[in-house]
Amino acid sequence: MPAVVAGGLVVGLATSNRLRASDHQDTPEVELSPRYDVNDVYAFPASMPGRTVLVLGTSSPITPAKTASFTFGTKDQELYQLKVDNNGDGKEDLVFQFTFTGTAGHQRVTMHGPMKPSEIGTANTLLHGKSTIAGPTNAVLGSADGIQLFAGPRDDPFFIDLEAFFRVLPDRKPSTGPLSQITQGPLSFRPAGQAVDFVRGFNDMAIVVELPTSMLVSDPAHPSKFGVWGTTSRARGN
Amino acid sequence: MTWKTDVRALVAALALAVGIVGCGDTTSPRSPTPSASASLDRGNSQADQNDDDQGDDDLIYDQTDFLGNPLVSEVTISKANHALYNKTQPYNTATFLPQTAAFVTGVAGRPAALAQTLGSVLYPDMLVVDPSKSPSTAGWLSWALANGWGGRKLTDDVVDTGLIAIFSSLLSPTGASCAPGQLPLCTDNVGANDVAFSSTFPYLAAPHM
Repeated sequence: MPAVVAGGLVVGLATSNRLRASDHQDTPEVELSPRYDVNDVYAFPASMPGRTVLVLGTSSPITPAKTASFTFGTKDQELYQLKVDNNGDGKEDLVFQFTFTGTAGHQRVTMHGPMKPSEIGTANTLLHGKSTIAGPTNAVLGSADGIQLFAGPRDDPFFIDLEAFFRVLPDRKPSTGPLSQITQGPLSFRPAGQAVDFVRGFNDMAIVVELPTSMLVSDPAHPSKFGVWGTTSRARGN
Repeated sequence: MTWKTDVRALVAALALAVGIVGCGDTTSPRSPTPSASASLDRGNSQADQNDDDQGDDDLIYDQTDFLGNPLVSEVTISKANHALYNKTQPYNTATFLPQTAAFVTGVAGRPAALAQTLGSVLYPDMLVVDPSKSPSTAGWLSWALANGWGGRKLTDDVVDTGLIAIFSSLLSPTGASCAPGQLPLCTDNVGANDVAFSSTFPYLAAPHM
C-alpha cells in the first residue's frame, strides 16, 4: 500500500501544480506587489473575557529583519479589510476598513467599522462618516467603546518548513528570491532536528483589532457563529 | 450549510488525533513578553473627526487577495487558479469546493468521502467562530472538530493539522501516506513560532530589528 500511495503522489504532483501551505506570495501579482499579499488571518479570544482579537497579516515578501522601510499601501492605492459573516450565508454583514496615509515611518491608520458595508462582494467603496479609530501606526490605539487597534510591523507569526515544502513541490516555488532556486527533493518533510522554520526572524505588516465579541454577532443576547476573512484591494485606476 | 453539516464522527476523530500529536493545542498559554506592548508608543486614541483623507472617498477598490481558512487555496486549489481564487469570496463554494475535493481524491489519492468531509468543513472559506463555546476551546476548526470556539490562534499548528487531515491514516486508511504527526507528509516538524507571543494586546511579538 505505501508503494501505491507514493506512486500516486508522484503522478499527481508531476501533473499538477498543487500543494502549498502558506499564503505568502501565492501569485505573480502579489509577488510583484507584496503590499497586496494577505499572509494570514487569525481570530482568537482576547486575554480579557468577552472580547475577540482579529488579525490581518500582510505585506510580505516575508519581510526580512532590518528591512529599512516598513510601510502599508496608502489610501489612494490600497484598501485593507476584515469581513464578517454573522448569519451563515458566507456573505459579509460587517466590515472593518483600514486605510493609511503618509510615508514609511510616519504613517497614520484610519479604521472604519465594524459597520454594514456599502457593497457585498469584491468591488468596494469606502465607508463614510466618522472613523472608529485613527492615529499613528506602530502604536496601540483605542476607542471610547472599547475597541483597540494596532497597525505596524510585527514578527511574522506563521511557522513552516517552507524549504521542505518546495522541495516536495518545487513547481509551487516563487519565481524570484532564494526559494526560487529550490529543486525537486524527496517526497518527505525533514526529521525533527533538521526541519527549519523558514519565517523565523521575519516580519510582516500586521493589523490587529480587539473588541467586544458582542460587536461581531447578529444578536448579542444569543451569540451564534460568525465567520471572518481578510482582503486587500487595489484602487481602480491607481 | 457548512455549519449544519453532520460530520461529527469523522471530525471528532481528527480532533482527538490532532490533540494527541500536539498541533491542535487549545490550552498552552502564550508566554508573556511584556516588552512587546510595553515598547509601543501610546498613540492618539481619538476617532478621526475630520476623516483626514476625503479626497479618495469616491474610489472603487477591486479585491486583490483574499484569505479565510489557512491552506485551503494554497494546498487544494490549483496554482493556475490562485489568481481567480484571490479575487473570489467565501460564498463561491460551488466553484472551489469541487477543486478542493478533486485535490483530496486526485492528488492525495484519498477517498471521496474524506474529500466531502473536508470540503464541508472548509467552505464557505472563512474562519468560523462559535462564541457560545468556551474560549478555552479555541483553535482552528475546533468549531467543527470538537464542538469548540473555533477561529485560529497564533499558536495553532495549522500546517500539521492540514497535513494530517489530508494525508494521514486518521480519517481513513485508504490511500494514507503516514500516521498523524509522522513523516513523510503528515508533519513538517515545525511546531511553534520562533519567538513567544504576548499575552496582551497586540499579541504578536515585536518585530525583528
